[in-house]
Amino acid sequence: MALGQTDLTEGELIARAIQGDKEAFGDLYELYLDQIYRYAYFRVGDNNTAEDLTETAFLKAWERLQVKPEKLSIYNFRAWIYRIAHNLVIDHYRMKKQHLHLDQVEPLKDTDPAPETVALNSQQGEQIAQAIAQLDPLMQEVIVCRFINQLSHAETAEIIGRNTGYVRVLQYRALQQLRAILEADRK
Amino acid sequence: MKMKADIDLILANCLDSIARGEKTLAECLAEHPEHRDELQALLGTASLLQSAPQVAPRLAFRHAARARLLNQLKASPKPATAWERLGAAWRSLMRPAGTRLALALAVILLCVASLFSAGVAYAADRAVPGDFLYPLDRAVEDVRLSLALSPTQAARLQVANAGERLSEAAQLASAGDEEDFETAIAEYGQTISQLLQNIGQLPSEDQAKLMALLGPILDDQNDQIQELIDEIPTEETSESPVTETEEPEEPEETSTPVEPAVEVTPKNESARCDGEQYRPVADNLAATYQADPDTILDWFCKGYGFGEIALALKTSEDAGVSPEELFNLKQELGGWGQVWKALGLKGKPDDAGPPGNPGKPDKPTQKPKDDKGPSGGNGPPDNQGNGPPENPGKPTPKPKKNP
Repeated sequence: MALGQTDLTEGELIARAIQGDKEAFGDLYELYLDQIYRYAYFRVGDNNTAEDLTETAFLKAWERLQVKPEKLSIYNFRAWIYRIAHNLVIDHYRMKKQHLHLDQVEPLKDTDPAPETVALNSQQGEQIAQAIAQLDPLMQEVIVCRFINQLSHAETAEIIGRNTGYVRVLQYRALQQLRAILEADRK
Repeated sequence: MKMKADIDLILANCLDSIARGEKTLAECLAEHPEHRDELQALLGTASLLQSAPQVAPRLAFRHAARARLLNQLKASPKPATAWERLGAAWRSLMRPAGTRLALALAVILLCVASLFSAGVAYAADRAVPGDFLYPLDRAVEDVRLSLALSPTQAARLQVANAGERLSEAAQLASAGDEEDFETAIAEYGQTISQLLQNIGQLPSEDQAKLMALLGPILDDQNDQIQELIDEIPTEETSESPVTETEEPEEPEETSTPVEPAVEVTPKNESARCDGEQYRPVADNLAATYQADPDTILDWFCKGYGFGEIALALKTSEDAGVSPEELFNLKQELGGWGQVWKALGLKGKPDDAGPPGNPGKPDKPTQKPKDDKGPSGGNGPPDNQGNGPPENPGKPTPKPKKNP
């Protein structure tokens, strides 16, 4: 897969970033920015926080790349950066002492709505986002990874730290619950 | 129950097939008439999610953040030393794709070592996580396991390997190396999970015999875990969330996974969780920790390895926190060492003591708070083969040695 202006493949970009090439890392940032932002946004329900978490995730990724590059699994960069974002979301809720109970958070009511975010302001998008926010945190993660960001069962399993069988079960239950929530909203 | 267990797999396969363009929705529904209505509803919900308007960061953020990020990035790292490059090359060999090659290389290295320098093999055997020779140490263990002649020999070898991980953890705890300590504990859990799952695949009679044989040794290791818990320093502050979770961010190389709560992933996506097959193992764990065997099987089917479950039950005894909460805590904090620190278990009198023999429960049975039911397919791993038994007793700590 050739990327952006550099015509380098994702693997080449990662290899270069590990060697300390900032531009290559910048290209990786461009490549994964939307996905990580979406992941953060659906987990925290706030545009500004999602942006902060996204930027911090990439900074941490760079720091990790520089400290222990030999320990990184290059072919799994995507799961790795999601994992960093996942931990940051957990930190975020721990700091707020809310421990991932997103149902206690007013979901997706941005104080500074941005035009680009507002895709969600369409009735359907907002309805879906609020339905997702009613799921438990692990189910939210599975739904966001699988259907919002189109990750595979295996990648989702790696991000949430469970096996693919468990992801399948969560996916099934989460879709059931979402369907019930959306149907109830319609009535 | 069976039907439910099936439909999550059918749903997943349909989603994958449709995403790859191999099947249409109608074809999937036609293939599963018994689930037609439910599948149609769930696939419809999935389709709705996928077609939802995509949220994206603000344009201003997109443009500014890259420049800001690049400005904040530190300077290029120092070039790797020859040892570091060699170590990285070795670790890359140890990844799954290169495991076979690495094993072969390990055998060759062992032969060369025995011919020219017995010291290399000796040094590898004394290596701990983080050492250059540690992957060689693990490769040698794998070779021994692959050469084992019977399930009993393999089991004893795995118990010995588990003991070695604990010994390494003790050494790393003394050295204050938290990251590699977590690796050692995680690998202990993996080894025990693999051992118990292998035992679980044997006929019930053999399972009982092996558990009787290995029980005292596992009890001994339980004592060692208690000692490790007592050695973990207490938290300086109650809240340091950011630094606490820095470690789990790394997926690490596949040879030393610290992250996953699940040590054994199914080789086959379609493998189902046959909890009953592992009942003797669950019964033994339940008796050891005075827990409910059904609950243990439920955790197993939710994707937790038996080693992970044993560590959670042991910690639960000491901390008075439910195993389910501990699973979540471990997931959040990244390792058992961090959990023990966070719970302030250091120096706690071992009043419960390591339960020796399976006995009558005098404590309330532990029940999960959230019994969410069916499992995913956590299929059993391949049997690892067997080998000559090592000394499975209490291992003595080894000095850390770097080349």
